[in-house]
Amino acid sequence: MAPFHFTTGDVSGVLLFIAIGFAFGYILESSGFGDSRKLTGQFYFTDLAVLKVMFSAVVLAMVLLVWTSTLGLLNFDDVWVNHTFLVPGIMGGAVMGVGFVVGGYCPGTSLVSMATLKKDGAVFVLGALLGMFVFGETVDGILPFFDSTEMGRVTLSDALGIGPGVVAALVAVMAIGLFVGADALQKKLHGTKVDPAPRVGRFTVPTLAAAGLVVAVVPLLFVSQPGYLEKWELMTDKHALLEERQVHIDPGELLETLGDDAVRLELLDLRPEPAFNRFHIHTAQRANLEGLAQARERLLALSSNTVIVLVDQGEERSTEAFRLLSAMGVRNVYLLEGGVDHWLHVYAPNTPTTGPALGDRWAASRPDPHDAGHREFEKKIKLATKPKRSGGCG
Amino acid sequence: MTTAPAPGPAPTRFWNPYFGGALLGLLLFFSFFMTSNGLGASGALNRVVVATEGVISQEHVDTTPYLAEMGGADRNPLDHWMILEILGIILGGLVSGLVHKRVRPETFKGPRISNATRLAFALLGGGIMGYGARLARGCTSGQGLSGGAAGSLGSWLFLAAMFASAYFVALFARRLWR
Repeated sequence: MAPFHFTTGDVSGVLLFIAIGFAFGYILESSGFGDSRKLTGQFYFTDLAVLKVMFSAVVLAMVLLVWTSTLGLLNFDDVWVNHTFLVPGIMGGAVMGVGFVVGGYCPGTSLVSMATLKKDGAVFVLGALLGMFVFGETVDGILPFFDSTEMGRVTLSDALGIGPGVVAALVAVMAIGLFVGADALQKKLHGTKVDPAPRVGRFTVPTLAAAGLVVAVVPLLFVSQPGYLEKWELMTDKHALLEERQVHIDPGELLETLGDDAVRLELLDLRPEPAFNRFHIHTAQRANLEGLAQARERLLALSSNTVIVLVDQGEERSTEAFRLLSAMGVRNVYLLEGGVDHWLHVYAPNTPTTGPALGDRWAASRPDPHDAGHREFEKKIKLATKPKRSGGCG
Repeated sequence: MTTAPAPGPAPTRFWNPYFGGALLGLLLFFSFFMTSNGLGASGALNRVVVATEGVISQEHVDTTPYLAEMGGADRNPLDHWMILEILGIILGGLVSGLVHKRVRPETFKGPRISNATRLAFALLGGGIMGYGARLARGCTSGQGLSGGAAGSLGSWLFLAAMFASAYFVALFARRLWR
């Protein structure tokens, strides 16, 4: 299930990223975005290519994302959504607006301009590098501001309380309105006649495209996004992890991980409170499925050296939680093989099942590896040494 | 699909913006579909800065948290997909320029200012843009296109702020372009 995660670690990933960049640069240059006069024309209403290119790109990509998510072809939870830092984001945007008009480019277009040997483009790139240098040197001074108003991963859908399909439809309508309005405004201000568009039969291509867009988004008003369990069903490539028990770790491995300083362990115990209070493994926290479903933000933000281990009395809840977290796009998730029952069987076979609620103050909560004796097990935890997840210009 | 020639020394034909936009939209979707990330540019430029600083003084990078995150200790700031992408952007821009015979040294500017003035403002504008891009944690590609397509609230607010600001500043910057 998409998105796939090509990385820079192998040749196919390297080639893919270069190819994507190549296509990006080619499209920008072919659209004339290596020319600062064309770009700034947007802000004098003489050339509205910036608006048209950006918005048609955003609308088309958004509609495709929502459609593939609705059809279960793409797990939108796994798609990078820039985190919202309300005030610094708006301030940064305002500052960039100044830079755009004064300098004539934005970072991407300046690279294209430089590539075609334009001096103003090259100088702009140099300026941008210097500006970033200054930022890096001074950000400490504005850190409280820079980190303020963080809202995390928030989409328009989340913020407005409407489905992503409805958002896509609204954006599509807004885009069409902007395009029509922009052309009218340009004509009124400058009297420039926009070239007659190519026609197919009675209709112009833009009209057909707009109609196509409307047809594509209307159904989105009525469909809903798949839930997590539905997503899991579609993630067939991940099913083997459970079926072949590739993520079920031995108590010995969990004990070892408890003592591993390089790994940050997030031990989630899914059992009811009384059981938890009676006995739980050292550092375990209580969790339940509903809470996990709502904690997506926190779980996705965990550091890349975090390993999540799910614990149940046996394996029932931890297996379901594994499906849930996997569908949410959380990585490095494992479950304790045999659960607490198996753990106690290994480390403290004589621990009574009833009795005082000692929580984690039992010896068996954190058995001494030396006393416990050497235990043979198959190591299953593999820390994906992926770079910190970032997208766009993060 | 082409539009009328833009003003300049030699006639050039650019793609129809809706055509270019549609292709860009497909590329953007393709990028999300294959890599889970959209497009980006300023992040890569930032990493180039960090890498350069690392060559001059690794200690400085190690002791500055914002820089250390990307290039501290044994982290290589250039080992990132965005670096590969900007190499592609430069290559793609060059090839398109060659195909359309638009590769030649020149300075684009408004008719009322000199080349020198234009270059000075390009440097200044670039500096402002670079600073702003890091403040916003992204630029028009990363926040605008990618964040916009993904529906990020912050990205849409960023776009609104950027356009509003640009239109406002344009009132005072006419001399540069018109």
